[in-house]
Amino acid sequence: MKCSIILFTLLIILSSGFNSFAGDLSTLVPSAKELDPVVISSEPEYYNPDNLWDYINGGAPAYIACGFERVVTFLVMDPDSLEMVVDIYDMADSLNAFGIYSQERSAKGKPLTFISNGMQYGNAIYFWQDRYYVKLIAYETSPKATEFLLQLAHLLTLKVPSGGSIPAQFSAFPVKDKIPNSEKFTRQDVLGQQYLQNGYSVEYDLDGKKYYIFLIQCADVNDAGDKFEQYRLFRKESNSIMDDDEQSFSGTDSYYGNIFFEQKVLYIIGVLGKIEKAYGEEILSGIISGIE
Amino acid sequence: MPEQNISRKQFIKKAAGLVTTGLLSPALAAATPQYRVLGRTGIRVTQIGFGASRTMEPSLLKSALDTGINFLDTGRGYSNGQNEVMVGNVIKDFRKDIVVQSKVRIRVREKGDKLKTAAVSKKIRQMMETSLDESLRALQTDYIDTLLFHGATSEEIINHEAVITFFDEAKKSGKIRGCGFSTHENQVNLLKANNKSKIYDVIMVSYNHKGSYLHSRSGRFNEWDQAALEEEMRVAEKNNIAIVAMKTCSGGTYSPSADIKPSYAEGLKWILQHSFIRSAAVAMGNMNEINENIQSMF
Repeated sequence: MKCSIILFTLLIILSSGFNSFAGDLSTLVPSAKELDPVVISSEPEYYNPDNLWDYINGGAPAYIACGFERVVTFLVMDPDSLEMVVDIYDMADSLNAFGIYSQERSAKGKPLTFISNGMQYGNAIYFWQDRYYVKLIAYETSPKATEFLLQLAHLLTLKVPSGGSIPAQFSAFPVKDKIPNSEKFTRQDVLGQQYLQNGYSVEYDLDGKKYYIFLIQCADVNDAGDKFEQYRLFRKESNSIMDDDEQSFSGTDSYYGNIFFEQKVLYIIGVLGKIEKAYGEEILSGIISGIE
Repeated sequence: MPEQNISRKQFIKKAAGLVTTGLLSPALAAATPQYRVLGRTGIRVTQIGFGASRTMEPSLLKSALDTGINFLDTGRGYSNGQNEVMVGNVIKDFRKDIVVQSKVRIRVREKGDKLKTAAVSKKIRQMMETSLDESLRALQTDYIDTLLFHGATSEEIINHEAVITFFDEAKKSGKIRGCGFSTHENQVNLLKANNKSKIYDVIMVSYNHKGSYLHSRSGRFNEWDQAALEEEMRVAEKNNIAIVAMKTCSGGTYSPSADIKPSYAEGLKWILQHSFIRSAAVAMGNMNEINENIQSMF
C-alpha cells in the first residue's frame, strides 16, 4: 500500500506545476502577416501584478492569488470592422494556468475541436496551454463573430508554447455521476478557509442532485493532520458535526447539505452535497481506496 | 446612523440561525443588524455588504448571508462572469430577500471625439445590453437591484449618451432598480460631476480612514484627497444619492484610541460613522474575514 501511495504522489509531483521558460510576451502577439486580413486595431498593452488593477479592476486579486505574472492585451479587427479583445495571461506555471481557466470557464461551454484545454461560450473563447491562459472576447455574438473567434484562437494555439495536461490529482476522482469539464483547482481559501490551500474539486450529478468532491493537498501528513483538525474544529464550533471519528467526520452545511470528510496521508478529502449519508460515505471510501 | 431595523419576527429567525452556525458570539447573535437606505432608490441594505469578488466558494457566501447580511456586490468582470453564476446558485431560493448589486464592464479605448461617433455609441450600447442580459442569466433572476458602470475613469464616459440611455431603458424595463458607477481613479471629479447632473443613484468609491489603500493581494497603491472626497459625498447625501464604500479594509487596521486594539472592525466603524456612507461593501475571501467584518454590522 505504501508503495502505491508513493507512486501516486510521485506522479503528481512530476505532472503538476510544470514550469516552462518565461519568454517575451510580445512574441506571442501574431504578426501583421500572420493576421492578414485581420489587423491589430489597438496596440498591445502589458500589465504586471503592480498594475493589473488598472486593466481588470476588482478581478485582479483572483489572478494574483493564482500566480499571475503578466498579461498582454490587444484588440483585433476584421475587414468588416468586427472587433475582439485578446488577453494572454502568463500564470507562471501550468497548474496556475489550469486553475484560473477552471475558475472562469462556463459549465455551458462548448469544447473546441483543435485543442483539448479550451472552450467556447457565447462571444468568447478561453483556453490554456503551458503556463498561459488565453481569452478572446468578441464585441458581438453572431455566427460571423464565432467564426472569427475560432480562426484567431486556432492561430494563437500555434503561437503559444504547447504543453500542460489536466493535473494528475483528478485521476483519484470517481467517473460515475461526474459533470464533464467540472474539474477545478483553487489555490487559496479552499472551502472559504484561510488555512486550506491547493484544492482540487469536481462536480457531480446524481438524478438532479448536485454533489462535490474535494481533494485538498497538504505539504505532508503532519500538515494534513493539523489542517484536518482545524477544519473539524471549525465545523464543531458551527454545530454542524453529526458523526465524529478519529480520521473522519460527517455533518451538515447550510449551502451544500451533507458533508463527509476524511484525512488520508497528505490529503483531506471531502464529499459535500444533498446526498444520502450511506452514498456519501461510499463515495468517500472509494476515493480513499483510489489514493491507496 | 442606523435607520431601519428588521422586524421582531425576522430578528428571532436570524438570531436562531446565527446560534447554529456559530459565526457570532452569543451577545452579537442577539443583536440586530443595522440597515440604511440606498438614497433615492429606497432600497434597504445592511450597513455591511458582502463583496463577492474575492471568492468562488458558495458556502462562504451562504455563511455570510446567514449572519444577516442582505447586500452583496458582484460584477460581470469577476472571474469571467462565473462569480455571478456562483452568486446566482446561492441566492436563487431566496432572491427577493437579497439586494444584488452587479457591474457592467466594457472595454472602450476610444477617447474624445472618437468616443462620440455613431459606431462607438452603437458598440457601447451593444456591449452594455449583452452584459446585462448575461448578468441576469448568470444570477438566475429577472432583475438586478443596482447596476453600476464598472471602473469609470472619465466624465465623458459617465455622461456618454449611449451609457445614460442604456441605464434609463434598463430601469424602465424593470431589469434594474437603480443605476450608478464604481470608480477607482478620478473619483472626486466623477462624484462632483454626478452631483451636478444627478444622473446616477449609487456611486461606489474607495474610502477608508487612511485616505489611501494598499491592496493586500494585488499590492496596488492608490490615494485620494480625503477632504475633497468627503465634501462631495456630503453633497451627494443632500442630493439623496447613495455612496457605497469599497477598499474599506485596504487602509489597514484602525484604532480610535490608545486603549483599543487596532482592527479592521474598528476601521469599518470609522467608515460607518459617516451618514453619507450607505453601506460598506467589504470583499471577503474566507471565514476569518467574515467573522471580523460582521462585528461592525450590529
